[in-house]
Amino acid sequence: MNKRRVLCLLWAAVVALLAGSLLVSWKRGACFETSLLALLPEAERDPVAGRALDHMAAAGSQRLLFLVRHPDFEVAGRAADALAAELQGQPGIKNVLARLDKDPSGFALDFFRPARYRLLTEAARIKLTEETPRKLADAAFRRMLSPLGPPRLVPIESDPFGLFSQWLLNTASQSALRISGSRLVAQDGGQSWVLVLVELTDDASSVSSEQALRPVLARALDAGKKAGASEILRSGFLFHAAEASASAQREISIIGTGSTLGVILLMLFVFRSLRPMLLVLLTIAVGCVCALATTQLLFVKVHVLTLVFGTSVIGVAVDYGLFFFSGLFDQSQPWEPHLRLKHIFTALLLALFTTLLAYSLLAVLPFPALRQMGVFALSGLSAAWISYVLWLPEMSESLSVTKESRWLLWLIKIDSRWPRFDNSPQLRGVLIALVFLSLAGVHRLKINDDVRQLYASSRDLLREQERAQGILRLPEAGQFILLQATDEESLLQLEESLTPRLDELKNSGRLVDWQGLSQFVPSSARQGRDRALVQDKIFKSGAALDELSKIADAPELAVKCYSFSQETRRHQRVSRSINGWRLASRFLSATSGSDAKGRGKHR
Amino acid sequence: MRAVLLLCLLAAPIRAHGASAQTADASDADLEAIKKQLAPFVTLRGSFEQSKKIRVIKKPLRSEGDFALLKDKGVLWRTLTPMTSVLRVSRDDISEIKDGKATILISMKDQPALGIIGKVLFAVFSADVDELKRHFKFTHVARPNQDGHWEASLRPRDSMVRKSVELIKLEGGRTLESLTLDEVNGDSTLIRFKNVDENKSLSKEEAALFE
Repeated sequence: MNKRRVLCLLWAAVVALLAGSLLVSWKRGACFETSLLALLPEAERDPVAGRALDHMAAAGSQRLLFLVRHPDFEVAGRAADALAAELQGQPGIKNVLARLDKDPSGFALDFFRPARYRLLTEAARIKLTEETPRKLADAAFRRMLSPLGPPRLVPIESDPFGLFSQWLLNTASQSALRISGSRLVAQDGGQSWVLVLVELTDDASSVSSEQALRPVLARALDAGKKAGASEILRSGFLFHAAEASASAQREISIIGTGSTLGVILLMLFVFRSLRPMLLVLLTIAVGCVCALATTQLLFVKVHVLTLVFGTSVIGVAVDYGLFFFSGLFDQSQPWEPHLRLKHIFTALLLALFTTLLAYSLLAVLPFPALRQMGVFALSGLSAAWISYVLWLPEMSESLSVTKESRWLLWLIKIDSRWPRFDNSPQLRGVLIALVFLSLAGVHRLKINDDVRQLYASSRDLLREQERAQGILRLPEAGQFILLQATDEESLLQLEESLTPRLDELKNSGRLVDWQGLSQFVPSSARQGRDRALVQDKIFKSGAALDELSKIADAPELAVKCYSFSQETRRHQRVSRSINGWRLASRFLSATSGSDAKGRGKHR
Repeated sequence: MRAVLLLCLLAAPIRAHGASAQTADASDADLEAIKKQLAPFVTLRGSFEQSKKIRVIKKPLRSEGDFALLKDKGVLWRTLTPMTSVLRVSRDDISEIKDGKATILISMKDQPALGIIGKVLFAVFSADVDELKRHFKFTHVARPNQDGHWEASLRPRDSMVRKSVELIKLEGGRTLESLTLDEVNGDSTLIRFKNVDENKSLSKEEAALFE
């Protein structure tokens, strides 16, 4: 066995290995990614921001929501149930929430109640600071008498001035969602929407499970409509991903089949023999398999767009084969494939290097999907090239020199008439005109770096998504301010130093809304200050509480309230632990998936 | 005066409503009979006496005042003794009126958690038995007798409201005459309505508050 043979077999072994790895990972169900966020640049400068973004993206892509509307709330609820029933227990779906079993508002109340003397809204803080005890007491007494007005969430002796109720309501209203019976409801104008929240399993955004999910989701939508919903809005990455992968698959098959057919026809026409065509197809196939396997090995999940793009590699790879087999038309010498290869090797190598150079640019870009495309093209082209160089001469020895077909001669004739650069002044004129036209065009060029354009989501879907986000008052994904501090307390303090400015922006209309951790859990320092303020303005002897019991002619009220407020054992600070907050906020607001916004992160 | 039903609703934490458990509900026929008995109105005014027993306060807190209600618009609730305060509940907010100026206590927009108030309010105003049934279970209904007197007891359906509201008792004839709200924590409010008149319209100043 000569050296060349060994190399050929070695390469065959490598290809077989790669193909094997591909098979194994497919069997395991590993697969394609369709996430839009993979197209976004990595936040290379700030790895923490990148991590935060990844975290949010991961959380967001595993959630779907439906909003179900009907003028009759009961019907909307039934439709939501019908929709949820279709989804429950289906593969890829972890959890469906259309009804609440527990009492989430009670949970929030219990969570915050121990800290009730430490939690003040900004409005209450201002009132306590500025108003006289008499005025504060008057307002509280009016509230006591009035059957209307803000609800009291805890007994009067625990919160005689309603400060805690006010804070809790204010915090709860960070979310557009309300609890209505056992339902989560969002109000939009006069209409109410029932929310169905769907949690997906980790691998749901892969193409295979996505395809399994598509009919399930469609069935669920149908079921909801059949159960009477007048309108159902969908929102979630998966809907877009599902649509995108459907269109990607369409594109892959159109481009892939088209270019493969083209290659087949071209080869048959030109060489009038099956073998060159089959050999070229073989090398293209090897290139595709190796490209896919390498990308999978390096990135674990192959993005669907990589495949769309990858099909274009076929067109490039076919060139090498054409180049090689065109020696068949050289009438001046007999067909000797090894000699032919030697003859064109330098040119082939150069062709490969220039192409690789171009694609390797992609591989170093900070866009994960583009990088994948780069790797795909690099490995695919190299593999195809190696196969050509090693295998083609061995496998094409039996061929012999042929004459050009009439068809080919006709092509050659056209080629001879094709305008050359050094030719006519007319051509130069045309070229110059083209240059000027392009220059004029460049002026009008607008750069659109909105990656969403790569995703051909239908307008209906986008509109639905926007409406749903509007109704739920959800932020655009990925807009956040990242704060860093050495511990949670300083993190919260840092955020609180920022919030007045955010409120200012909100009041001036430049910011629609913001949400942050300190709204749910104020810093220990702030809680301490607020506690001192409450003590000073309300519970101190002669302060607002004494005034209130005078007005109400009930000295026992002051005694009771005072003794309640001084039972320090039961009035701890709100747990500063992020976990505690997450639990609480989950019920307060994050059922809308909004726990991912404006989150501070601590090291 | 059906509207006052909601007043007690509002005293309770109104963040949650509705449910569908259907047990031991009074028959719809009884409710329809009451609905028929109630006088239709566009405006409704009258005076009230309120006695509120708060568990931690020995003496009940007594107050008096009057109210004016404009169908589909809202209600003015005016306490005159022992102190003056005017509250306005409209579709958009609950406000305190002082010297003709409104200070918003709760905006339905800012506090979507309370947005339900408006809905319930107007459902009650328009005697929407269906809407009431969504939020309450009628545990006891006495159809109008020969004098036209009727009674109804309601228990909130919603677990959240049930945490604070034990029972609401309504009594009336052509209009609501009294309302008792028993809270779980032992507090209890009794409101008696007098001189309720469905023909007197609102004064210009009053109507202006609902513009």
